[in-house]
Amino acid sequence: MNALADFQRALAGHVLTGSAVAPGLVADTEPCPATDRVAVYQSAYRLRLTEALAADFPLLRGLLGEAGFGRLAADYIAACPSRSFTLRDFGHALGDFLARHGRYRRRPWLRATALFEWTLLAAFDAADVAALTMADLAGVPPAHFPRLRFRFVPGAQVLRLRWNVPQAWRALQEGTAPAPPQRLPAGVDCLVWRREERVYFRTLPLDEAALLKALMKGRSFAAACGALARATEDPEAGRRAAQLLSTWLADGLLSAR
Amino acid sequence: MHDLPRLGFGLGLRKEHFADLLSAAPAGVDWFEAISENFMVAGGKPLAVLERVRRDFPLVLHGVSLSIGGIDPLRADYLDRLAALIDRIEPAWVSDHLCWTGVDGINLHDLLPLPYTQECLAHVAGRVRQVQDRLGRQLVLENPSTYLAAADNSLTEWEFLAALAEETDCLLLLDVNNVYVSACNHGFDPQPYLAAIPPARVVQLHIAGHRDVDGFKIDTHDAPVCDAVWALYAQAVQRFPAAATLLERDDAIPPLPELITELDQARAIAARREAA
Repeated sequence: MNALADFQRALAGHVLTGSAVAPGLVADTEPCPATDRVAVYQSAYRLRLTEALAADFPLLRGLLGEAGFGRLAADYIAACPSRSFTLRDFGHALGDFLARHGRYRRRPWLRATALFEWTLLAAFDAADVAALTMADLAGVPPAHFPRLRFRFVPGAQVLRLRWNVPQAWRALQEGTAPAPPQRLPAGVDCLVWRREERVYFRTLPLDEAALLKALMKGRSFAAACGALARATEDPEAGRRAAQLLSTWLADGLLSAR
Repeated sequence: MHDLPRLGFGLGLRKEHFADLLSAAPAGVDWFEAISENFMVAGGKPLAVLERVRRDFPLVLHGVSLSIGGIDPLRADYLDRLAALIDRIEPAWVSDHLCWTGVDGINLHDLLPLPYTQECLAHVAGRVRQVQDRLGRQLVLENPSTYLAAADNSLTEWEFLAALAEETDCLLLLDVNNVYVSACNHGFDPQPYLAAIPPARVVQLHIAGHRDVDGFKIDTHDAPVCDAVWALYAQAVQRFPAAATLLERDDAIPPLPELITELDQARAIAARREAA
């Protein structure tokens, strides 16, 4: 297998680095020289991966513009080659890359945007489960409620954002040229989830974020109500929690499993 | 050699047509081909659409990441997910390409050409057997479009494919556009290619459009089938009359009715053969 292995390693090296083809590797047949032949694969590689990123990060692309996004894609492709069998996973490290790489680190809203778009994608093809319904809960005796723990539908996540990425995303959806997300001095929690086949997101009020994050950490309903009460000093925390729970049931956010 | 169904004339399942397909099963399409990797996900809309289309149509799975000629071990995670998808949608057959897609753990996400040597033939044959054992079915392999050839090739692509099929009992998907594209790019005659492929092994034909770029014919799948490929297709349906035909389109995707009209051209060519 040595000649085969040598061939594949040498050609892969040329494709990855864009280097000039070593003599004797590729047939120099008419009508095109070996260099041009390898160049077809070199440019197709960059184009294919850039297109995959553009499809998964449309807002980032809109914010950076064609040339800026192309530069980012080239930097990322060089730094983080794909190790997955599917292009679907290629962008998984883009958020971290943006946080580390000098040229992008100074614009922290880029990382926030990448993380937001990746979270939408994760929800888009997360596993299907039946959502918990009001009828499922109807059979639970009231005395059991404090001890209840909830599971959330796969792909549901709360993202802590210091930049108003959701607003920029909506602008993009409405067809307006997106402006860089504005800084949110206090930060905001954004819930992303999928209901049936559609992905939703919304920013959360303080009390809902407190309750939701506690439940997502696996705390009991009583403990999560405690977190809500501490976050808001709301004497009616129990009633508010019940109200939020019914909203989540209607939104298909809780898993029946 | 096989007892697979004759599927007729099909189209690739593309997200641009999801809404049309969900509103009504289109007339004029006998079956669909789905890119396996697009549906090797946990859940969500693509899988839901695939299952709904499967209720109305025969389906075939067409992969791009098996890397049957690669030197890295076959990926167990890939084969497990492919097997799960096969169980879920029960495709008529499962195909991938005669190529390698990466090395040393890095995936180049391309269908890279193999050296056509006896050493490589033995290597690929061993892996085809492994895949067929794992999936419990014959694998269908497609000839890739290529832009370079290894300097030390000792076999032609058609000799390699015929020998591989004979040795492993795998089946073949003959991409007529790829034969044409590669013939132009390497300066060979497509006739001996078609003549060397054993008809009983060919379950499917691909037709697609390509583009002329910098002296090469590039297999872009973004244009209608050209006259030269239709002419070669007419010869292919003579030689492989039982094979199903699939019209591929992956970019600049037109509305469904336009593709169905183009597919009807393939039907008409096949009907002329039958009439003759």
